[in-house]
Amino acid sequence: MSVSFSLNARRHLTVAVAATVLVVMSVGPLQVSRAAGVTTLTFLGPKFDEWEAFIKVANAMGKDMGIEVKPEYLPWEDVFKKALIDSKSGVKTWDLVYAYNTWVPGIAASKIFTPITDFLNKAGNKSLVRPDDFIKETTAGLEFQGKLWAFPTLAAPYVLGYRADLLANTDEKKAFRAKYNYDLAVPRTYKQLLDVAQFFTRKKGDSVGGKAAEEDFYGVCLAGKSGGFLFHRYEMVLVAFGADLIYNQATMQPTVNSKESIAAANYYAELHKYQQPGSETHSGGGTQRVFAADRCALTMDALDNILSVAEVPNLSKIVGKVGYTLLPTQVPSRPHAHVADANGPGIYALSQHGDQAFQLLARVLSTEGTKELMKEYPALVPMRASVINDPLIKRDYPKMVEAMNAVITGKPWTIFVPPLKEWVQAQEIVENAMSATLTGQKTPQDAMNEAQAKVVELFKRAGYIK
Amino acid sequence: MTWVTLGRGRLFFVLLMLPAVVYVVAWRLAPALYTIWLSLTQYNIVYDAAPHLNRLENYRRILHDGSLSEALRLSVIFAVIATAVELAVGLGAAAFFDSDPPGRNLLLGIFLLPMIMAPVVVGTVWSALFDRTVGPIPYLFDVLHGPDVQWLGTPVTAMSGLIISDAWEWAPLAALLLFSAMQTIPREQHEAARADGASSWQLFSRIVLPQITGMLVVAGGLRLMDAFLELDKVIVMTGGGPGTSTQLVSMYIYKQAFQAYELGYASTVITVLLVLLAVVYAFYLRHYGRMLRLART
Repeated sequence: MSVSFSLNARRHLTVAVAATVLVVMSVGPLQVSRAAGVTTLTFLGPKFDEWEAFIKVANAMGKDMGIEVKPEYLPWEDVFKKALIDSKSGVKTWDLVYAYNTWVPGIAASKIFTPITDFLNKAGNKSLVRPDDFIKETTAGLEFQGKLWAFPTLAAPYVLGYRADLLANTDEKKAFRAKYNYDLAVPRTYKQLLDVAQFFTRKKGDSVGGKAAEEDFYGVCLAGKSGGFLFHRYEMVLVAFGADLIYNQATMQPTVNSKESIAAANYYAELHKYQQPGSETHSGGGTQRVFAADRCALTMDALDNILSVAEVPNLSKIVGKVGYTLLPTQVPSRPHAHVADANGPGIYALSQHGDQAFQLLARVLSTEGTKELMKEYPALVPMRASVINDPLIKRDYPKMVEAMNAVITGKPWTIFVPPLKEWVQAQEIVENAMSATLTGQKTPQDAMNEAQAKVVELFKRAGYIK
Repeated sequence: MTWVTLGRGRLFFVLLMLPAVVYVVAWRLAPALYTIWLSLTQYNIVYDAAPHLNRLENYRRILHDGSLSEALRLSVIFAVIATAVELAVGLGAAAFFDSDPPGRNLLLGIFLLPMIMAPVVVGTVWSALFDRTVGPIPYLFDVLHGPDVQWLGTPVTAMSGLIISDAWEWAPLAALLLFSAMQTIPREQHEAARADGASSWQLFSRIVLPQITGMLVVAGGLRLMDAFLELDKVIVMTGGGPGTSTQLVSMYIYKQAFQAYELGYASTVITVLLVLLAVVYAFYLRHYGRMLRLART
């Protein structure tokens, strides 16, 4: 009996081991396929139109370089997480990874990327890339500790989008003058912005620009979803009102409930009354859909966000009716204050094809490559001066050029998010406080006082203050 | 058969046991032990090269963490109300299917569909249904001149929205369990009660309910524990907002681990939660029989 048992056991064990070996062999480590003479690079990024366009152009331009690019798309907020965890686990799968400017300090600290600067320092590469051509106002966010961490691709300056047709309407002008005692025009101050938003908030059936509104019409469309969307809009007002971005960078003291911060919070809560309802669940894209559905007079958002919806005929009822200008001014010392965004692919530190990835980026994001990219994604806001100044670009993308020229010549007061290890937590604390204010749970003062206490506790724990 | 009497079969016994032991140790115990160890460390995955011990600092922090206690409170509220709704709807549906309506199997199949959907899909569906600009629910309220409800925009309605979506997804499970329990009740008991002149309510409360109480307790226990750890729908539908009004405990842990990258502190919260749930579960198991007897009397 025991003999037959052990024979059977041995047979079963052999089968089990063989099956395990087969399974391991068939799954194996995931290797990038490599056809003869072709190097396959992998790209990890968000499934946004601009990055799908990037992949398309990279594959077209990479053909004669013997390079193809395979994308792996994730939700925007998961890209950094994935790259970070893979990098910590020694996964070598990726070559190119999308980066957003607020991630750059983390990328640098955790060494997920090889800095672009390291490649630029190699012979011949500087002349290939022409870094002097990058628009300085847009690239600073991708720099940290004196190094460039991602290849500048897409700028996202925050602008005010306004319904030029409504602001120019004679009847609306007359009614505005009668109500506010000054002329209806593109808002230059936050007071004017509030007035215009209030003025254009109408009910379904009311006249808007001489036509009966098919749906309720709102003064301003702003994204308000938790997870950064709300904070990112609110921080524009915060800095415009002269407040710090959460803390004083010189003293490390949190200033969430400073006089300026409270003024900004009060203002934002007031502006919220004229916003599209349900904004608490709207991301940037969702908000622009509402704006493009002819339901708002104003919007504040990243330029490419607005362009990619409002100016696309099959998505928008307001093509050609939108004007773009710098954000309003509140404090004279901070004209058109805004917190800048920048995006670009970086080179994964564990990449097996770093040099080829750099060569490909240099080509795709050159002046000519960027122009090709814009054909695929017309809302792209380039970060190269040579592209903005190109006569064909000026002719084909007048709205983008108009807005970018406003950014370049208007010299808005620009700041990037500070490189703070606890930035995400601090931002979330303030965003939650703002959200509680907008939903009427707390007054701005109470909400910001509580947020201040939480940020102080966070900073104490981190050892920044005692 | 004992270890001693196994004789030469001991090797075979060990071989047979090995996969289960390896599974439990590698798949269950090791990650749990690693989490407990991490809970004693300071480890920010972005900025710290490796975890370093900070003794019980994380546990001290938990004691003063108001956000965590608020998240726990919200989780309890969500779990209790969602489970109650699911049991009530499930009980009603089970009674309906037990009455053998025409097309029962088809109806049952349709009713069970939400249960097999991924929670993230359920969240997306309900997010769209509640959307203020394109959602059919606000539109319906508008057409029927109902109140202007900002479904996911205020604390109470956002929590209600989450509960509704959870009940929609999991009431079918309760219905399925209760329906199967009802099906085991001999038809003769129904007929005898009817012959004695029992009304439908008396039939349900005196004959059916006492005999499905065991399953009711099981379904309630299962759903309560699962609902307590709800995450997917919260991420998709509210992101924990507005403010932190729907930030359930799983969402709180997720944010600590994958937004703040504080793996050490997140592990501490997980460990404490594990202990709390283990205590509740032990209590549930211990008193299960007594609850049954109480329910039957």
